[in-house]
Amino acid sequence: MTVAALSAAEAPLQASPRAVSRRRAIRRFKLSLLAPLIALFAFVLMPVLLLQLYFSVHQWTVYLGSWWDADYIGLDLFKEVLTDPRFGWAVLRSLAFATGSTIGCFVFGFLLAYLMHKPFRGQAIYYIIFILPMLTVPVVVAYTAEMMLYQSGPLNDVITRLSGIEFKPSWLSDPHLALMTVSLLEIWNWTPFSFIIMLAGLTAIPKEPIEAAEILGASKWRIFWEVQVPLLRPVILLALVLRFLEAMAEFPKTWSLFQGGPGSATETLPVYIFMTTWQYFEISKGAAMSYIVMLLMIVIVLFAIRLLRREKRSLDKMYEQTDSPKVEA
Amino acid sequence: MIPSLVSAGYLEPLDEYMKKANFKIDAVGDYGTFMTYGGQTYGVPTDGNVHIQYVRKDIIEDPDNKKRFADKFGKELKFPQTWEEEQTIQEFFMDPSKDLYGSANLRNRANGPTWWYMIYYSAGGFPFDDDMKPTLNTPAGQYAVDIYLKDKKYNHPEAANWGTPQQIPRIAQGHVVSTQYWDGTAKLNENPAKSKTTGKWLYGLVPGSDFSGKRMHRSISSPLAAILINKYSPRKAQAAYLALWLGSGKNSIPIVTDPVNTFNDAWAKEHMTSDAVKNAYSPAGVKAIEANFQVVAPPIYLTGYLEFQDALGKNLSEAFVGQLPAKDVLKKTEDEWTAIIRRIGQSKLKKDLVSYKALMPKRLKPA
Repeated sequence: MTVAALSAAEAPLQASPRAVSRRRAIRRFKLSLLAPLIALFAFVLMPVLLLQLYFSVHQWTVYLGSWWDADYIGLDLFKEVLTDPRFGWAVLRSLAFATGSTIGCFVFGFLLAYLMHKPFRGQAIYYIIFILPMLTVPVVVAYTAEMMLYQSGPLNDVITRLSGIEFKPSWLSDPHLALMTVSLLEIWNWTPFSFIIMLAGLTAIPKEPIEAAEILGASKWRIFWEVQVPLLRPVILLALVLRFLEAMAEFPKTWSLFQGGPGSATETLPVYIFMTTWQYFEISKGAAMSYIVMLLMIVIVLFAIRLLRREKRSLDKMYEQTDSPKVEA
Repeated sequence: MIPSLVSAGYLEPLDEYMKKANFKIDAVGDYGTFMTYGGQTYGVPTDGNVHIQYVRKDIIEDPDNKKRFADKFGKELKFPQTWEEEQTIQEFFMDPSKDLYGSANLRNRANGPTWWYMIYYSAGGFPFDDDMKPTLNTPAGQYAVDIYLKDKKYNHPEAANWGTPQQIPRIAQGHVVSTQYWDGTAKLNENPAKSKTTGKWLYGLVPGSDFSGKRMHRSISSPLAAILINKYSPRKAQAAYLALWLGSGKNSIPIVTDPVNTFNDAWAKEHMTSDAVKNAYSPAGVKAIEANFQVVAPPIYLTGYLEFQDALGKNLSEAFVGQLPAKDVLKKTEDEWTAIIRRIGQSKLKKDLVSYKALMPKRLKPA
């Protein structure tokens, strides 16, 4: 009887008891961190989602008696919502608002993070100043902005004096400017969020690729664009997606300043859903609208996760190539 | 909101408590009926919220102004009696270079309908027929829309999104010629600590209209402010008696006369003879409140009030900012109201309509 000889590389590795125990401990630790979130989802969010699903397939308003006696109507409300032009316009307004404010938050947040990512004297003070807007309650932001944004208010006055040109847009009354006004307030309020994420990303970039590029004589711009930005891609994506989702749900500033007006200029999705549910008391239609919006958000998140995984794979590949160069026999 | 909340089963009727306490809502005119629905009382008033007319006394009684006006129009300058007369005065005296505008009427989406109802009712309009079909898209309705939108020429350029926090200070600081507004603004105007126009206002009946063939004046009380009792409260009896106590003439006088801490406006008969109320609103202000209460109408007094109101407010606001042609406002509103009626239930709303019609004033103008 012959036994084929195996090389060391071919012999299957037996995990040591210590390694197995370590892997189990890590798995238990991960579960212990996730357990509160799973419990929150199971006992708080799931019942709400199920109740909302019930309302979205039953016709009920507060005027029609007990909600458990409501008539089952299947997907009629979803059809009604999807063919409602007012809902369509609300989606477009929300998308426009979220896209504009997300890009604005990202650009300013990235700029501030880039200025702050290398240590300097007094950095902590600037850090506090830059994150202050995020700590301000949105309704307070809205009411303060309202006082500043009157046509004859301080903002227009200062710009007029500084520029020498009469600058008097009606930030609060012009339907063509109203949504942009809320977008600008959103950018002011939430740039710190993008700033914090981008700062974390910039400070986490390893020094070696940058030093190597400097040694090879690359310009600052080339280092930024061809070394730092590719490494930052996952962080940029995360910052954009998180901000976009939050912006789609923006309500306090829009409602405090405009209540959907002037005309319908600021009737975004959250505003329309709020009015449908809490002013018109069409609980079922509001539930159907909320579900459709949730599905839209899930599609965006799944797409973002796919992109993030792709970025992670390409970064992992890049680091593998860097760490273990091939050795020719 | 009373019809909506009663339909939802949330309100406790107060008649039994009122009987036990020997309490009667002693409101001016028929205002007390605005607390009822389906023959039962559900609210105790805390705030009259009636609109009165404000006209700058120093402007229209100035001899030079009177002469200029008479020279141009061939008639005497006096307190406006119709919407058209008021708009003529507003246009003639406004001077944006001095930050003086003709009007401070609210035209934002949330409050605009309140002003629109006054014009529409005074033109003889009523929003529904007996079968609960909307009847907005009529000559009276279009007349009301035209008068409503014409206000843009005399109002501040930012009026499209302005509410009370913006316009009330402008009234008190003297930037307005003539306007309809909630009666509590008289309190602010006559408070020298907060107003630059103390003693400079004439108060009176809101303008009327000859559109129906008869001169008719209609003021409005909106929103209706009252204490309502939650049917499911474990202490509803105590809450009801507290409401009655607060709603008695004597106990409500400090509430409606406070110059700083409350926004509540006079509404009871006892208020109209109280020295404290006359000091706060001025004797002329009190007379104006009394007169307007005699022709006061409610906003849409039906289940689904907020939904009807918002559909109208949205379309009026869109027309005011140029997003919707004026001729399409009422057709669009009627279509949206028809969908609302279908959703809530036509037969249910026909029952509500009886209460709504019962609240409408019967006289064309105050006695």
